[in-house]
Amino acid sequence: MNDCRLSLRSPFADLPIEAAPGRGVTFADRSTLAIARIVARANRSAEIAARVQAIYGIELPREPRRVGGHDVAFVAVATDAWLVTSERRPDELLNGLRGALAEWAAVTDQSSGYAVLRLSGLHVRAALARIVPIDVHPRAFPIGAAASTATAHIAITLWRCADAPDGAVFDIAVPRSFAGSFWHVLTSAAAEFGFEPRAQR
Amino acid sequence: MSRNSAASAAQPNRLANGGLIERARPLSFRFDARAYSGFAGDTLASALLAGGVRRVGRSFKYHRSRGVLTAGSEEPNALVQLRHGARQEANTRATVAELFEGLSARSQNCWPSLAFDLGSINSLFAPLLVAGFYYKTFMWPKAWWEKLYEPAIRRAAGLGRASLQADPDRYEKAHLFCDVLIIGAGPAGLAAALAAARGGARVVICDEDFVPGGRLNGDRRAIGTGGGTDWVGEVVAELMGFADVRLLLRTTVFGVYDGSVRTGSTEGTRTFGAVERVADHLPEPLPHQPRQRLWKIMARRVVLAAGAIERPFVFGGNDRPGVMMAAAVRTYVNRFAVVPGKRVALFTTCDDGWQSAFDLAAVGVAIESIVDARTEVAPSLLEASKAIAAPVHLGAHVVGTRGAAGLNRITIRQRDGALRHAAVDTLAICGGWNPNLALTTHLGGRPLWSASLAAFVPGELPAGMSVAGAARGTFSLAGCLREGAAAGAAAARELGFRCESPAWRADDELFAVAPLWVIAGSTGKAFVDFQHDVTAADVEIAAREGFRSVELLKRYTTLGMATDQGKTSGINGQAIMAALTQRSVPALGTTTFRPPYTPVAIGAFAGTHRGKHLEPVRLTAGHAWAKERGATFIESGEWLRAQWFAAPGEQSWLQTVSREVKAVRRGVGVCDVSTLGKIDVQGADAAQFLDRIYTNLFSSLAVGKVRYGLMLREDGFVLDDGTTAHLAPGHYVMSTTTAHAAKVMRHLEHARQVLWPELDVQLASVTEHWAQFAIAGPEARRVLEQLLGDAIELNDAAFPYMACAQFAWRGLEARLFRISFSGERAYELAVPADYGDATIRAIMQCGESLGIVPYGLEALGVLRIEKGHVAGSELNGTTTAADLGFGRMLSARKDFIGRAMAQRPGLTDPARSVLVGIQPLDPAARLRGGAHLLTPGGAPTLENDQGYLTSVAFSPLLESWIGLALLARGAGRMGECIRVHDPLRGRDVDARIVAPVFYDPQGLRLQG
Repeated sequence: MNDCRLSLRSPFADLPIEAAPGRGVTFADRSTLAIARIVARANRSAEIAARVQAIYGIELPREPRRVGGHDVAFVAVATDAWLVTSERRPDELLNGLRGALAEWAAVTDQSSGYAVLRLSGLHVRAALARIVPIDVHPRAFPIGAAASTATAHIAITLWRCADAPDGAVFDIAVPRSFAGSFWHVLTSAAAEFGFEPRAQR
Repeated sequence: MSRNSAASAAQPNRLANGGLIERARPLSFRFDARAYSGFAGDTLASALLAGGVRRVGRSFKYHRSRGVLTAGSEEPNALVQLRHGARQEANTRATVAELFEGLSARSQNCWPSLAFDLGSINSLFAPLLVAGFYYKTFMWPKAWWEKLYEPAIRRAAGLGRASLQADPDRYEKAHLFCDVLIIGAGPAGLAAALAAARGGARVVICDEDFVPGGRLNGDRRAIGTGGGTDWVGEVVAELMGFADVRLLLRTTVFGVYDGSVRTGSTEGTRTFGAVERVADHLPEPLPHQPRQRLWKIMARRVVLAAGAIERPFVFGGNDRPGVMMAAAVRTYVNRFAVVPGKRVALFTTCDDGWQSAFDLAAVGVAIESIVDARTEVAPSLLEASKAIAAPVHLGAHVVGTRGAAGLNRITIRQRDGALRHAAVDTLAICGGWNPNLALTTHLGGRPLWSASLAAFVPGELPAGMSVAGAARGTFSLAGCLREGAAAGAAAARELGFRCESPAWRADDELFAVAPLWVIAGSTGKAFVDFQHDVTAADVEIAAREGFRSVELLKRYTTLGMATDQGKTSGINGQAIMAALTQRSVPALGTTTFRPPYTPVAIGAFAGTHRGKHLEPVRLTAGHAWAKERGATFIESGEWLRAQWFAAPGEQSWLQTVSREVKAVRRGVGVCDVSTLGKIDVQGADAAQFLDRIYTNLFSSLAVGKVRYGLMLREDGFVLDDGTTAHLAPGHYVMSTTTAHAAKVMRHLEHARQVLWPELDVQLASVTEHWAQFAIAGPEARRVLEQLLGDAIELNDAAFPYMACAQFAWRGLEARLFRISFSGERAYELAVPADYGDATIRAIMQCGESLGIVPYGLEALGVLRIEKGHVAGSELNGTTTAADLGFGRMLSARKDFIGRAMAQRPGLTDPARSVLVGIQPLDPAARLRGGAHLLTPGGAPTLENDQGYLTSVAFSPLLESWIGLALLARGAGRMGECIRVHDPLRGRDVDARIVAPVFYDPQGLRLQG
């Protein structure tokens, strides 16, 4: 049995969806997203930016923004600190980052540290207004915008992804242990609009 | 007067036509157990008036009959108990409660009934119940206050009653951002909104009413070629066409709060609090709908267009049901198609009041008299009054009223002093208008006195706020439209939007007023504050007794301190005081308004943070597994942790915990320790950083090793303890206690960013990423060998006590630490939390043949108390390293945080309490945490207090209760007897002071 892989259990596994038919707000569990946190070593952020540009072809954001795509994206979350996300496996992301940046940045795996939900739907902004104290109007929070903020005493990071046919799309990363409480906050905010899993395309 | 015959029986005062009501939607409701009917669009007040109800409640102190005074949120009189059961709410203003099908309301503060109220006998004792009554009357004897006076007063005086049941509805909070916030959707507010919206600004308009339009709904006005309400419809329709305009009806902006708006800058926002009554107009909220929603509105600019509040006069009997504000009377006529009475008189000192007489006449109501205190009025008013055949008395006053159940006669004192009675059922009064400027003062602005308006107008405004229309003292419709449009356009232009002020045509109506506050020589009680039953005589008493400042007047008489916050009474009281003390109103000044503008339910502030959702709950990755195993959970900070895992047949928690402890001591147990804080420390200077953080040395720690560390606060007391592992060169992972995890992270970040920014150190909290399980007991290694296989070499030579390693296991990055809190051979295995659930199941499977037992927080506590390991109860912020027996961990070879302050005499005093063990002489005698230690035979006094028990447990191995305690001069007192005193929970226990290690003092079992 020592060779058999362990199965992943999402922090959102088994959470109840209260009956709230409708597609005003739709969600998808993105907890398999690979996430690393990188923090620049002393006075090394310029080198990191250069490496990120050279290796990933990404201009490292300095403001709360997310730059990148499917394979790798950088979200600036603090001075000289970024969350790096990837749709690939966590070890691929971590090995890649360590290989590219270890000399200039401390890299920590946070893939299991965050429960990530993708929110969309016609009323996603109205639901978000009940969750986060930030302005998610398209003018104030364009595609690629990111923010570290709080909801119901839970520190969260969110960013706006590329639009879907039915409108804006947001990813919200919640510290894993708070997933249940966040789910309660989210479902109470979204139920009025109808809250359902996002259909797979 | 033509009436709808079908409705006339139920609604005798309803007009056949007109009004903003939906006659196709009749609604039935109950008031004091009688059935009535109304229409959608009614308020409870308009429906009651339509039904001929004049008396709605009893007053606070004197239990006088009271009716509807106003048609808005300023209503002081018509307060009712709305709804039944858990949803009932006290002190609801009938003038803002929207009618819905099946509504039920009861009158308040009367017993046994509204018509026959025993409490009205209070009126006979009125001379006793004057201002300062409480202060003066019940001074002595003191003991009678609590037992007799207060309960009696509370029963007699008061308003509605709370349901004392849990509110079944949901409340929520939400955020709203905009360029321009407009408060009030009357003519000025709508004009402002349209101007700003046409420029492209994000606009939010809030109005407390459920219909936009403000006074345009209550007045018959023309704008351009149409009526006032037509104009409202057109403007609202245009506004709704803008994607970035939001109209929030039933929404009261109740407070102005902090902000970063600076004059002349486009940066920054200001915060406003608003409450939206989402479902107050429904029998109960729709599924998933909150009852109310608290909005936190962040606006870059704000236009206050909150209108004005009409003020009454103070004269004898002015509180009798049937005496109503003049503008309210015409609101009931025009908006609700309700005529409050059949024979109406007007008493005014302001041109605006006359309009009510004209509007009443227009629907066929006879005007008995128009009494204007002024000796001269505009000729056009006199001409118009001739046209409606209303007798006019100039220079006259109403000096008395009569009518037991409601007004039936007024006494007019004519200009020549002659008294004249008039039989009327309604008296419309208008003493002028007060700009509704409350929100301009929430941040400290002081209102200014306008002599021409005889009213306070807004003074200095918060940056980013402008005021338009009646709220600014501009009472003409044309002025309101002009100012609103200009203010809305200016606010948007300041933010860079290109916009113009729209213009509309409306006539500037007459608005002249002569100040008149109190009618001298009137008979009967003359009320200033209707809701708190404060009379002109009470103000006189306050003046006579020296309570002459507005602030003292307010507190001594309680004027303006009722739920209406003096909206109709404040200025009258102040004007009377000014006259009594020979000062002008502006010289006397005014009290300031504070949030909230109108009462806000506490539930709205709580939002969804209610019951068990007050705080978030944190769950470990092993939670679902523990739940399946039947764990009992306990809160540990925000975390929910398994307290114990009861087995079938176990009779008590103690039996369960003892089994778990014995399993760890004799076989093997597993415990979820994921909640401990884990901080990743990296960088070229990480070792130096740790040396400065911890009292003991870490730079000598080899890779692959773990060391126990102690950290102090800057003030020299212990902050936290835990282990730090050296995983790789320049890479450490620190563990903290569960309780102090966040505090330690802050402490480290402060040290890194502020104290030593020159160090190359990177920190990251990795608590959430790792699920961690302690496998403890003599069989622990065998379980791990089975579990980990050849992923890691576990023999004691390769992986001794205090070793650590990170390695690949089943495709994961795993970490193993050989550390022990229990004193047994123990390991902690860490895996990414996504795989925590699978890992704990795999551990249990591998340990099954070895009898592995899951253990909870309680057994963990017993194990550590047996070993004398300190935890949160001892690391309580008052203990030094030496107190806890860690004096030798304060390295003399280096500096560290807290070193200097730890040398203070108070912290090195040999008389300090230090950690000791406590063992009862009778092993079965139960010890209780928090119990105090007394010298045997000493009285249980503070002087004899020697210390207290910090942690207690029943040790199944010693078969005795044991405890850890902080005891004065404890170090030298081993073997002494001491009395454990617990006055709260039990009898005293005699005990012996022992070393704080009860089990395996040599630590041999760590290798066992």
